[in-house]
Amino acid sequence: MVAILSVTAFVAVFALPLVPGLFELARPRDNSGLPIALNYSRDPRFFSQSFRVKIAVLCESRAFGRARFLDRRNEDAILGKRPCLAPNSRTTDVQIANERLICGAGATMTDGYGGKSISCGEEVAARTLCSDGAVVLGDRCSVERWIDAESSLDVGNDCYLGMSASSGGFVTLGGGVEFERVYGERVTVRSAGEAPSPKPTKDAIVLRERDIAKGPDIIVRGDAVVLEGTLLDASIKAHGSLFIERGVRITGNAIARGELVLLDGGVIEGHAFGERGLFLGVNTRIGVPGQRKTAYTAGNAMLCNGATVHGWIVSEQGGWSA
Amino acid sequence: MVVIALQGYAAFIVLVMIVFAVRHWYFTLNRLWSPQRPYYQDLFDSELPHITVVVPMHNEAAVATGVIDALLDSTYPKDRLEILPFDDQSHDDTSTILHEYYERYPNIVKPVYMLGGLRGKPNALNVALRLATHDIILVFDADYTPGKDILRALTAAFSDPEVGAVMGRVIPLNSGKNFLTRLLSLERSGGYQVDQQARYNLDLLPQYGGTVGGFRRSMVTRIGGFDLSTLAEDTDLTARLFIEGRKVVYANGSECYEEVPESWPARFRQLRRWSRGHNRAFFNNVVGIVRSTHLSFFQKLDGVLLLSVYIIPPLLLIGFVANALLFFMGALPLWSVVAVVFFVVAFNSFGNFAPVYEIGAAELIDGAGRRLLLLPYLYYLFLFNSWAVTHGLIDTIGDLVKQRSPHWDKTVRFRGSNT
Repeated sequence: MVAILSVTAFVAVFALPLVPGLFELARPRDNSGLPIALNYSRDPRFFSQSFRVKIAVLCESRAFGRARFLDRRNEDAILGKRPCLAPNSRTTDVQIANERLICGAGATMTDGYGGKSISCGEEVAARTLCSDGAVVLGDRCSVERWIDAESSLDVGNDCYLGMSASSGGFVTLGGGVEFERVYGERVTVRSAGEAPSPKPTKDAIVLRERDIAKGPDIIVRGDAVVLEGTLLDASIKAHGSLFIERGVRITGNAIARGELVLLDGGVIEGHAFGERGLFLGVNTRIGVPGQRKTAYTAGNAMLCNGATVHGWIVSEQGGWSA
Repeated sequence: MVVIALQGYAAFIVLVMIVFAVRHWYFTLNRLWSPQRPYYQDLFDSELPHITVVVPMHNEAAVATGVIDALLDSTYPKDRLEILPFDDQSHDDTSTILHEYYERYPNIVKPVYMLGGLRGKPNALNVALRLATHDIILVFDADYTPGKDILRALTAAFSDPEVGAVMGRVIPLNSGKNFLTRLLSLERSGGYQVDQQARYNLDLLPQYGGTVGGFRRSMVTRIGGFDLSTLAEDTDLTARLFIEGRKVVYANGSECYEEVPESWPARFRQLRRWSRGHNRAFFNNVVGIVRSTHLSFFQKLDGVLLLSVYIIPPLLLIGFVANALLFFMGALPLWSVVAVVFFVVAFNSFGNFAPVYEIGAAELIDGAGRRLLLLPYLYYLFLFNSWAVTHGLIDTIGDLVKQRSPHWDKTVRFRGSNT
């Protein structure tokens, strides 16, 4: 009797963890494959393209006035030809302008669309801004989510650009602009801010032209310094930080597991990938005109006056112009 | 003498279990709480490199159109894309289907018909090394369904000059089919979402898995191409690339559906083949890993543990027998009793269930719900796996002793069947 009870107890305890699973096996509720977005395609202007599709019906109707906007409960769309938000005004409606949207200084709004352009005075706060023409932001404006301009995007000093700023044409950033992702045919900083001058670590490996000539690609196991004026016709990777001195030109990609520092006048014609940080000095350039590349960091990025990126700047922890 | 040997073996097994336990435990914590190392998917490029996509096929008429249509439907620029489907001595309509694609897309789809000679994926890949026009070669098995962006995302890894191979994430499409597929789905999650990603985070040895991935032709050619003596050419390539100072990177966001075996015999054969190939890769590369001047201590340790992962289950089974023998021989001294207790506790708490930690963490990250209730059943899957893996190890030893080349046994496809 004791033996039977012991065996029964043993089996019961052993089987106990299996019991909850029996319910799921009997009536499966969570048995589908994990979802994959098979149609997803990475597009730096994804937000705005999606938004344009959503407002297309409203824009084509050309019926000015108040209209219901998608399925939003608390926000209507206000359609106009050239609406103008008064200075310091506040609206929760989505502003859709067939031609030009003007936002006076200090205005606060949600989403704004300008068929031909958007012009914002100082200290305008918006959730999203989208234009099929140009967008001009005055100083100290802030965009909570994203901003996109089909032709050009001009950003004043000390603005905040949310998670994405993009343009089909040129982007110009003033000084003190905060951003996460900026995309354009050419993204340039125009600021009068003082540029810091970072220094390499003492134990960094110094790469001279004669070392680099061994190429084709350079891989350094630690911090590395590429000396001033070097021409590197290849890609380079450093397992630590990569410090590229003034006037260096790299025709391939520059990859750093630590920080990537490109000092004044330096050029990287391929991608710039700094895992822990990215510094682009005065008059530096990433990419070449007509070809879009990426300057990426999982840390913070700093761009000095004249720094230009042909393509995309991605700064996961946030970046700013000096 | 026998008793001493058995006692030594028992102690050895305890040590091995502790090492694996710590490894899995550390991987899980790293994946859950540490900053994740970024992959290269954000490297947007208007001038994408030219690539060749290889699709090895043997009697794949049921699935051939699916994978080629998906590749043709990708957003990768068609003028930079070459698709080489390999018809590896098929007896069904695979060659006819491939020829139809060639007629419709002669500049993109260029079928290769292998009419005789050695059959199997490693041989097809060696032929691809010669025939591919471009340096970057991506590989997809015929039963896979690549998404629109995956070619670009995988190719982005080769922006890093040190990268020799890249591996994406595999997700079972038929996970809800039956009990086995549900358990395999859990296994896959742990293996990719946690294990591979953690090894990538920690700069250890992420594994190239032979499909949903790719490699640089120039680097693979330089190290002698694919080894025909192993059925796990992917593991072998991983080891040899790392030995030569190159990297394999893991792209967790590059997800692709696959079909997992729906029957236990099919799973048994698949696992036996993996074990046979993986163990051969162990014997071929373990010394190279240990002696490599390009690897750190922890990379070497991870490499040895990775290569020996299909040797451990048989060792554990022998460990059970050894302890049982010691017990019945009355040769279980106090230290050994402690060791046995410790072994059992380690095995059940960490060793066997350490992968379960990984799987549980992976499912949490993936947002799974009630499927987590099936985790305890993995214990029984582990016993089944051990049996299949042991057969594979015996096969490997036979291959080494008899100097024979293994026969490629393709995993049966279930798509379109009612089984």
